[in-house]
Order: sequence, then structure tokens, then C-alpha cells
Amino acid sequence: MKTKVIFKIAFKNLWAHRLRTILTVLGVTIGIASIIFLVSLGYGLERLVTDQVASFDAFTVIDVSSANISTIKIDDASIEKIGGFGHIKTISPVTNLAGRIKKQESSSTAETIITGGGADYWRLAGISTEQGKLPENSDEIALNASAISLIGEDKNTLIGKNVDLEMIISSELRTNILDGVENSEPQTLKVTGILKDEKSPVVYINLGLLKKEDITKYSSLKIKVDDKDDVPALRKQLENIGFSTEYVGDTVNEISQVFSFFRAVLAAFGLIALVVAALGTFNTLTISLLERIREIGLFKALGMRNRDVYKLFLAESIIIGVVGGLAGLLIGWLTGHIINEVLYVLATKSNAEKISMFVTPWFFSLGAAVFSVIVGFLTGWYPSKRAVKIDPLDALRYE
Amino acid sequence: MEPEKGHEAIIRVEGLSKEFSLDKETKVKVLDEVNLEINSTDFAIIYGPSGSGKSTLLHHIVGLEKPTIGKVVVRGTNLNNLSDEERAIFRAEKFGMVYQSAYWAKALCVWENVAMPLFIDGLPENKAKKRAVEALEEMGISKFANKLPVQMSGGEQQRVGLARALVNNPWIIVADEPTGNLDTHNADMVMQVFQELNKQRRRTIVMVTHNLAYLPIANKTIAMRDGKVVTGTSDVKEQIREELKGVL
Repeated sequence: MKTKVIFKIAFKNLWAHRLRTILTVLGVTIGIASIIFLVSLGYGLERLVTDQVASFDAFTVIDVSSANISTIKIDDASIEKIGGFGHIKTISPVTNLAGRIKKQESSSTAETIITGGGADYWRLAGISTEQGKLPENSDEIALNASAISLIGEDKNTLIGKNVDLEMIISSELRTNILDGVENSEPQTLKVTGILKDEKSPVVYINLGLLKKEDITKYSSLKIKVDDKDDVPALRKQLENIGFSTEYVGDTVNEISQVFSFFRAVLAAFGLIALVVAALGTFNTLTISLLERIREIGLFKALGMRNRDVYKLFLAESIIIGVVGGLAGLLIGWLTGHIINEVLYVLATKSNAEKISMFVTPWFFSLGAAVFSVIVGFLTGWYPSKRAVKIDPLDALRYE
Repeated sequence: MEPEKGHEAIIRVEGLSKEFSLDKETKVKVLDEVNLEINSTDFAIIYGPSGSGKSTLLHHIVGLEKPTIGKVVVRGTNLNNLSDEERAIFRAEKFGMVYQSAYWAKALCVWENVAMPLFIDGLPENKAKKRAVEALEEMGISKFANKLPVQMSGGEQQRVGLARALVNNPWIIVADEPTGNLDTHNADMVMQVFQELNKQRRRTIVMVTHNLAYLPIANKTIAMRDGKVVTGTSDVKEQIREELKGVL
């Protein structure tokens, strides 16, 4: 028999008992919609957490530091060596050290952390100013709000003014290693930017200023690679030459593992509804089989092959699975989408950050759709097998 | 009437016996050493009292049952040599079947029910519909094509059953008590259709009936009693007829 004809007959049989069919399909719809809704919530919450940890760009960035600071140093020579490993877009060094900052014509100083970097580093580290810009030249400086308050300045009027910065330089950062710690001469620097408040006072200067002080060693590097698939190989190479690496993907993977479990728990709740729906479908198809025993006998007496009898019943369960699955997919997704829209509106009204609490990845939608067809197939399998085994003569005599 | 000479045997039943087991020890013989030949131009009527094995014989002829011993050969094909699937295909292609009761796919309309043997044969829907409507036209009931069979009278339903039996242009029309549930008018109409099919369209008709009034229509009558074809003298056959008259 033509498959199209089989599906048409199956559809007509289902439509002939439309109330029963609609209730059965509704059961599958609720089951699939529950799974989609709950698992999308799991994906949405995971996305919310991982977005807080890392931007998309961060997945192509490796943080490199020395595994043993006394023997392995990071300097321009090591940057050159790493550059030869390939698949690298940029290597951005940073040097962190301690220092003191004071406003001019003031005797009181404030202890601060000094971060020396370049434009690439600021971008890769996600450091940005609230006002003005980050230092591009060796005579410029940017301060965070905490540092500003410690030196008693007003962040609204500070940009363009000069501050004095004294660096406390550890001998390990210099080319010519001397024992101990040396304080640099105070440098007068022009404030170009203000950064958001942090707990500790931090000032940002250009690497050029550190070079002037003969600081040639770096605290760490940020390496941007061409593709996140290049990360594992490069990390191995770096670790082989004595560097230690950190990668935001490690953290995200750990978060994903936790959320995978969370999603599985949510899916299990949704699955309960689907199991009930599957039993409902099984019941409907079994009743349909009992109602149509004479019809099956007739089909067989007319010469219908067993495989066509099998397909006829299976087609009914697959129709229930597909229609229920697609409707469940749509309703589950739509419910999450509506809640997302409501959250957008509330976030816009309260000037808060916009969030998506429900995320439905396409592969999950596809998986759920395939799953509903499989459920349809499994629920139809037994009644179909029973239909095949029916003896046509017994069936024609069946009352 | 004696069978016409010079026509090939389209159905040959040789030494056919059928036993059913009621339990491990008790067996019932429903058919016992049945031998018969039906020619391609025959209008054959099988008659006999209830439990004589008429319908069981018919089921063996169309391959719905397998014999315990013996064989049924339909135009050179021994049905014993075919698998269940092959017999189903053979039945779909070579036989048109008419039943006493109206058996329908209740969700399907009249033309779809009539087209079912064609669907089973793998015909696409448009071609099957065309031929089903033609068959309904032949039976004079094409106006009911889009109705459900259960919305029709008993006589109309039997005509739909006839249309379904004819739609795939089978070699042999097999009918099991086709007039059993019909009034005289509709029963006569059905018998007229069978006669036309036999005479004009050269179809073999094999019919099981209780109604002795139809015996003169057949050119071959097969009397059965206790699972055996009565081969004796016309006196024995007459005795069976008298018994049947008593029952009816």
C-alpha cells in the first residue's frame, strides 16, 4: 500500500473518534510542552550564570602565568616564542604591582594596585571606563572610583587633572635583578578615565610607563586564539614550557555540568507528564484495535499484507506523536517566550539588565520533536503487533 | 446442470481435509477428503445444512485457511506452496469477495471502501478513486460515493460490497451467503448481478447459499454434508434439498 494512503486511512480513523483523539493528542502536547518549558528554564538559568562569568569572546582567550615565578619569567622573549605556536591572534601582557597615589599639592597618599596594560589587554580583560578612556600613553592614568575616593577627589571633575603615582617595584619584575624592593620616583600622570567602583583601589597605566622604569617582566598574558577549538592544543604547548594556564571554558564547563544535572531533574518532572500521556495513547490505540477487529479481518481477507496492517496502526500512533509533539513544542516554547517578553518589559521599566530566563536551543527542540515521534512509535508498536497477529476468520466472526 | 465441457479447471480441490483441535485429545474434522473442480466459466453453488463445511471450503479456496491434508490449486498455483503474505497478495489480485454481513472500514466513505482492494494492490489514490466510482456506476449507486456505508440500506450496502468485489477485475467472485441478510427484491438483484458477471464478463462465480431457489441459476451445484462433497446419486442430493427445505 502507498504510505500516503496508509496515513490518510489512519488520519480518517483518528478523526472518526475526534474527541478521544484530541484528548490523547492533548496529553502528548502537555507532556512535551512540560519538558520544553522546564528544560528551557534550565538552559535559560545556565545562560544567565555563564554570561555573568564570561562573554562569548572569552572562550577564545587563555590566561597565562608563570608556573614557578622564580624560575620561569614572562618577558618579550617568551612572548615571541609563544607567538610562534600558531593559531594566535594577539598576545597581551599585563603587569600588576603595588604603588601609592596622591593628588597634587597634597601630602596624603593612598595605597593602590597598579595594572599596566595596553589597548588589547583592556579589551580582552573586559576593562572599560565609566567616563573618559583608558591610558594609551605612558603619561596617562585611569582610576577606579575606590582609588578616587581614597585620594579625596571628585570623579566628576577629575578627568584632565594630574595625579602623582609612585610604584613599588619588586626586583623580580626587572631585567637586572637586584635584591629587594625599590620605590620609583613619583610620576606625574594625567587622568584620562574613571572606572566603576571596585572593592580595592586600582589604577590603570600604560605598559610604556613600566618600560621606562626598566620593568620588563610581565605578571601574566592574555592570549587570543583564532578559534576556541585551538585552545586545548595551545594550552598543552604552553604548559609544556612551564607556564600555567587558565581558561574561562573550564569554569563554564563546571557550571554546565551542574546545570546538566539540574536540567535532567527538570526533564524528569516533564517526563512524568509524558509517561502519563504515553499510557493514554497506548490505551487509545488498544481500544481502537478492539473496536476494529472485524475491520482488520476484512482488510486481511481482502489481501492486505501484515506489514500494511502494522503500518496502519503505527501510522495512527505516529500521527498522535507528531501532532502532539509539534503542538507541545510550540506551546512550551511560546510559554517561555511570553515570560521572557514580560521580563523584558519589567526590566525596561525598572531600568534593570534585560534577561532571558527561558532559552530553547534548536538541537533540544529537534531532540524533543524526535522524542515525541519515538514515544508515538513505542506506544503504537504493541497494538500494531497485536493487529498483525489477528486471524482474519476469527476477526470477521468477532462481535 | 452439468459443467460445460472444454473449459479449463480454474479451481481444483484435491483430497482436502481440515481438522480443528478442541483440546489435546478431541479433534473435529470439518472437511473430509473433498475433491472438486470448478471451471473458469462456472457459476458454482455450494449448498448443504449448517455445519456441513461449506464456508470452511470457501475459506480454503481463497487461501484464508490452510488444509490439514490435501491442496487447493487455483489456475495452476498450489496455495499450499505460498506463504501467508503470498496468499494475501494472491487473494487480493485474483479473488473478489462478497460476504453475508456488511464489513466496512467505518471511518472511510463508500468509494474508499470500494477502492480498498486497489489500495491494497498499491494503486495511487486518484487512479483507485476513478476505478471505484466506475464500479459503483456499474452497480447504479455512484451517487452514494461520498457517503459512509452505514448510512445506506442493506440492499445498497450489498451492492457496495459487490462493487468492492469487482473493482480489481478478479478472476473469481467468491460469495458467502450474499443474500442471507437481504429482502427478496435485493436478493434477486444481487443474483442478477452474479449472473451477468458470469455470462457477460466471463467471471467464475463460487457461491455458498442456503437458498435452494437459486440452485437452477448455477451450472454446477455442490452438495455438502458432514464435511464431505456428496458425490452419490441425485437421490442423495434430493434428500439434502429436502432436509434444507425443512430447516428453511
